[in-house]
Amino acid sequence: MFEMKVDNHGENGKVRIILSGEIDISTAPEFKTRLYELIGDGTKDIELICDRLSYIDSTGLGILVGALKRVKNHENNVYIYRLRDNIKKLFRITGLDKVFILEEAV
Amino acid sequence: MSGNFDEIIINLPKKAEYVGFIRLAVSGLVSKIGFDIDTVEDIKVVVSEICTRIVSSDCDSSEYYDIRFKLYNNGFQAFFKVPNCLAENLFDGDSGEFAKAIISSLTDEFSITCNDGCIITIGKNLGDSVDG
Repeated sequence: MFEMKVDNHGENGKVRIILSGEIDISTAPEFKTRLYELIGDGTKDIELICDRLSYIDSTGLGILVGALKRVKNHENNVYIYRLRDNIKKLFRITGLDKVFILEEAV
Repeated sequence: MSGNFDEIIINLPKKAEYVGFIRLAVSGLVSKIGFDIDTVEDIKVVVSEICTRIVSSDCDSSEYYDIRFKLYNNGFQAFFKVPNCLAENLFDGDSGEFAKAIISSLTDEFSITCNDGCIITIGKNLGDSVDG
């Protein structure tokens, strides 16, 4: 089960997205399509709210890196909030904790 | 790992929708051994990563793949039999590099041996990862 909702409370034109459930090889295509649609040409910062995201695999991490490259082209960023410990561990192992901005409080 | 073991073989369709099933199945299997919750989660992640790499590959026409699990009193091993072409490109791309880092970091044993086909082996010792 995977859900992705756009929250209109993003400030200063940021796109805020609430993720829940599992992102794996079966849900990654939907995640990628919808995320890249929301990113568009990359002219806005992206905020991902992840406290209800229970699992993400390497496919999902690859999609996040692709998203980051798109917004960085326009000097914007991807902010990731409230990762669960099991997922934070994967960010640490892959070194992505140094690549993304990880925050606890929105 | 040593001593007697129970062996379980699962034959899976090479389809993305069954990777979630194998996460649940492996969770049940290794919980039996007595791993703590965090280690069970690590093993689920690792097995899922390898299945994902296998399912993502289109280097051969096989529609199914086997996973052989060995459950010991003091650990766990899993063996994935894959064609040579799949093993050669197993960790290509950004996602492949992430998968390799995750698998290497979360297992006590990780190897790929090739002869007539390749076997990806992972293992986890019970060690200190004991529930309760």
